[in-house]
Amino acid sequence: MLYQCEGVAQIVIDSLTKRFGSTVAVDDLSFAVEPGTVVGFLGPNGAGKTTTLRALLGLVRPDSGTATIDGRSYAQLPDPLETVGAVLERSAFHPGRSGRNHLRVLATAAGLPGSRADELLTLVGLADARDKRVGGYSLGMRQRLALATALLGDPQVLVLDEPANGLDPLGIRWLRDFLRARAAEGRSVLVSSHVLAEVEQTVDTVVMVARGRLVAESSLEELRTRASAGAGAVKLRSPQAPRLAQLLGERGARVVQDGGDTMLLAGTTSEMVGDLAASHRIPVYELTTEGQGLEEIFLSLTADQAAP
Amino acid sequence: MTRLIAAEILKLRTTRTFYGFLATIVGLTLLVVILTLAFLDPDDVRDEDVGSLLTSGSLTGILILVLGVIGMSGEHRHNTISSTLLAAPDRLRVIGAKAVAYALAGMVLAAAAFLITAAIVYPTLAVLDVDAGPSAGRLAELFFGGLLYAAISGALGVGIGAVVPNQVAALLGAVIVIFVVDPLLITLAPDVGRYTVSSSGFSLADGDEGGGDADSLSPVAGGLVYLGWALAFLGAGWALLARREIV
Repeated sequence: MLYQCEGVAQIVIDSLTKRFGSTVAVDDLSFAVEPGTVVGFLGPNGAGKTTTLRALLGLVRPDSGTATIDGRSYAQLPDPLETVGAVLERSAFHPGRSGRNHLRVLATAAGLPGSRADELLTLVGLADARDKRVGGYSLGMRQRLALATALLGDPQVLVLDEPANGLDPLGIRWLRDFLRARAAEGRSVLVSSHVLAEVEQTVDTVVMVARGRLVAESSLEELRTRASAGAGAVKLRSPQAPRLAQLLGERGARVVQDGGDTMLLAGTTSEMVGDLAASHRIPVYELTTEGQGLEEIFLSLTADQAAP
Repeated sequence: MTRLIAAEILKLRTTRTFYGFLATIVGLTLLVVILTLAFLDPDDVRDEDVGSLLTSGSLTGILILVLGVIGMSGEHRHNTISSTLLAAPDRLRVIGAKAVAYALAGMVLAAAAFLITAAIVYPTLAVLDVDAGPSAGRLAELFFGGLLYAAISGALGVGIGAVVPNQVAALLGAVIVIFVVDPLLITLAPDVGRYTVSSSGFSLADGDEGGGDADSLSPVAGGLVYLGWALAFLGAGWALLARREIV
């Protein structure tokens, strides 16, 4: 299925299939990244995310289908680094070269001014470590350097493969703000992760894959609505829990777990429980929604496909 | 292409490897020259002896070849091939630029070795009151032959590294071919042996037109064969890289 979208800096994956021997890494995958949006490319390890991104970047050859940026394959882009910036899962640095020189080398190859290296090292917070050899960088510093590399040509499209890997919570927060700022500048961002929580606060849309196949594509808002609608249970703690459960049962709710004063109820909402308790003057000490979160939706969508 | 070559030269300049090789080549050259001069009999020095001293470049060429192997296979070892190909997706241009850069680096290293040797040899001979040495024409022949040998060695190393991306295997293979296979062929089957990588390269480096070992090729023929080896490896390396999945 070919997606038709208007605008510039658009990524289109169209019926992409890639096999490694007898293993189908990517299986007839199609999706698009609209300009100016941040798309989370999600799936468990081995789902085909990295292969898809590497096919997009011209590093692996698809068996069939296409992966294009503004209608062109990566190899056809006249100034690739000025069109697409990429962070790859495996670090691609010479350990004996400084961060600054790493950027200068690539800037020279792309015909960009060497001064970009210093600008970007400042942007990603590595100005103080610019002359230190990359072999001495921490994982977080390497990820920052990788992001600086991706921004070298000031591209409209960013393709990031598991950029949060190995980052501490502070680093993940920094990454989140960083990506949102880039999206606010009008760039398209395609960011892969195997952990939804890592990108949940960053992305507009999610594309979920498992075993190389598309299992879901929706806006984060739709996913949240779905999560809310699919609220599994309401946890209730009340000295009159059995009576309240009986009243709720008359309205279609059922008890999932009965712990005396504490119960887990399905088929209802916290609003309904609260209203009913108030109208019958039943005290409630605790009322929480044990809803199906985004992570649970993600896992349920990918679990069947991911099972060996 | 020019900016890719400039980027490759910058890569060379920004790690310690190149300077390590420069130090090794200069150190070994000094060692060979000083030891030779120390045991020199001032009364029995011929022009060609001085020439031989100035062309201790065979070892330099081998080291430059090894530098080229490390440079190309290192792209795979450190996975920098990914970022290299993202900046320049045309893989033929990537191999070509690297070959040119290492050829230029080889020439710089060979020139350094030659000039250092000359700077020691000629004053020493003057002190020893030895009036021997190659003519200016022969000297130029030795110098430029050495530079050409070094340039092709650098490019050949890149080609070998492209064919065998595993750095250890590439280095081990190159050393076995140069120090075991080629010498065996030269000894056991000279008609074949003179066309080997090392023999053809040494023929070019020695630059001994017509006066050398009867089993050796002339410098021009040796140079052409050596260049053929480099082009064959570069071509095969490009064909393999063009097909290789960078995963």
